Amino acid sequence: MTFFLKRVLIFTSIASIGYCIVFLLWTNLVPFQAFKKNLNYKMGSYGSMFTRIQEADTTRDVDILVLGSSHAYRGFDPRIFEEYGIKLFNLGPSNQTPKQANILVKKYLDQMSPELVIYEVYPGIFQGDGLESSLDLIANGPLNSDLISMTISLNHVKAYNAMIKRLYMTKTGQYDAFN
Amino acid sequence: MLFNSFDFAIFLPIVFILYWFVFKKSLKLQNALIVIASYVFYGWWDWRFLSLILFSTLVDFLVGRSLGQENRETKRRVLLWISIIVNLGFLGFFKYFNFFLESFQDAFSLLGMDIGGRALSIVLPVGISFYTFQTLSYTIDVYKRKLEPTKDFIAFAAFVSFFPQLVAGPIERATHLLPQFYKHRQFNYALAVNGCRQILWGFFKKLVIADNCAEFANQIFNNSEAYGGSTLFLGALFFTFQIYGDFSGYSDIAIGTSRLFGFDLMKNFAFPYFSRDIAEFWRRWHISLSTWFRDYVYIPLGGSRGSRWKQIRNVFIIFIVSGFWHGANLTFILWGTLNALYFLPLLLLNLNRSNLEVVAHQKILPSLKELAQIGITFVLTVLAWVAFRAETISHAGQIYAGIFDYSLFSIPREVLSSKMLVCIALVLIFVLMEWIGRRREFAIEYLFDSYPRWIRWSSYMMIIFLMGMFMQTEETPFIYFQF
Repeated sequence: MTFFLKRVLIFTSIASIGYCIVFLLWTNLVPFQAFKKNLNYKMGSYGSMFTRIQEADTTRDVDILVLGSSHAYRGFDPRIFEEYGIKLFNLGPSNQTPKQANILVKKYLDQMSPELVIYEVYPGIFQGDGLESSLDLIANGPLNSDLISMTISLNHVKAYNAMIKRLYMTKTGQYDAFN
Repeated sequence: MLFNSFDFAIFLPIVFILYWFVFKKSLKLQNALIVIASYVFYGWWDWRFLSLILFSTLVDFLVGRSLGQENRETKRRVLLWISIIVNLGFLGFFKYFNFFLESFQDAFSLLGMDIGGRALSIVLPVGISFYTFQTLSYTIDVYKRKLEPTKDFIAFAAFVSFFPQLVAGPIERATHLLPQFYKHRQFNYALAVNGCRQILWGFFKKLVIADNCAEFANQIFNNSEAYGGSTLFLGALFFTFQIYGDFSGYSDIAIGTSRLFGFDLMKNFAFPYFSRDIAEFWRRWHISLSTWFRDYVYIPLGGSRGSRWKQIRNVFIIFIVSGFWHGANLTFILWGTLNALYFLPLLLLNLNRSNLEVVAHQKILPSLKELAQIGITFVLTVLAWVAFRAETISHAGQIYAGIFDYSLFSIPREVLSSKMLVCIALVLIFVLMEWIGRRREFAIEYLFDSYPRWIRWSSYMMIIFLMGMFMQTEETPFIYFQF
């Protein structure tokens, strides 16, 4: 019995490492997206998350920080606020749920020290799992323990796959080289 | 609780550890743990329906005890009927009440009469058809004196509610499963490993094959009026693999899980799509239900003995009842009737037991004749699944009309996509693996034979990788839960 449990443990450990190796070989060598069904990994993405994270890393002392779904990032244009002398930073990606907003707030609130935080919500945002926004954040957002916790709490195979890819991209310097 | 849920991934190890480490020394405590775990497993879905299981258990336990003490045939028969009426009464109410009400309303409205009555909003308790048949097998076997009535209520409750097979089978016979609850169970390493292997294969069938095929089957069946013959046939093919992957996957997980607890459940599927005729298909598909109907309905009716007319009548009864067991819809009756029609020529020509061995038993590939037989049987099965999957009889009729059309010989361009081609590739890999392992209880069992550990473990790892990369990510309930 104990022998069985030990074997299960050993197999699980080896299988986890093996999975990562096969996964990375497969995703790097196979060119067709259809063969990578459960890997949604887009750097840059349609909400330009990558660029905004790069900018966010160097931005300090804003007047307003905006968070929320696509309604937020398509609804609050920093250029218009700038015309009125207000410094606004928009951190809203598609389909952002409170989980992802929390990661961004934790990372940037102190650094940006905004006078006002606008968090845009609508009923649908509390019903979704936030997968789309999480995948966007995993591929482009700041890699820290909060991002890893979010991946685990999401407990979704696409999130785990994206996290394996993200760790690989960061480790090999491909994340930093993207631009 | 679904097997393919995170809850089950937590639940199973907890029960396993408690079972083998905490309650190892006491058979009674182990059985009690199984009852509690099974009720938690079932109550996770809807705890209110636990009362039905408990009531069924109580009735059949008491009927069984009384049958053991009673020698007068009339009283024994009354007791048997009490069990049948209670169990089939529950089943009839929850599953068939609205169907019969609507059928009566339709029939009388044809005569210009309105008999009134309103359909009730009835929730079908998950697995009711399965545990009802399982507990009925106990009463019938005790009545027939094939089995001693049990005095151990906990063991009996565990037999009725055993969580691995409670909601979708295999429908166990009391003669096979109940005695296993009386015996002290020893942990068997080889059996447990084989159980894990079968669970893995079951998950692959469900998450990769069934759920991916379901996406295309649903797309085509739900928009059937928009598609030509070849696309509709393709939809039927996808459903053919969906239902096999879904149901046999569930059975594999159930059997594998039982092995982890030292139990042996009966085989439920034996590579049915490699059958050479319909009779063989029915010996290989949902074996626990087919044999249940054979033993408790077909043989008591006279089986294949008696006059030709009686034989034909019995075949139709068994297939139609089997179809109706699946659900209160005329489509299931049509499915059963089609299978009866397929089976009839074999019975009349005494060919229904001509293919008992595994196909191409000593060979790698089948002969051309065998291949043709498999192909014909497979196509017949696919056509029958159309009736099973269709929403209504007219929906089935519309799909059949679409399939038997010149457009059957066109390329189904309207639905072809790279995603679909990947799914087809996965199905082909699956069929190949099933062919290689067709002599065993489940496809990847042969890996255990003589291959070194690194090959075995690499194979499991590849299956896990295929699951991680290609599984459908939405939690999809098993089809047979609704039956």
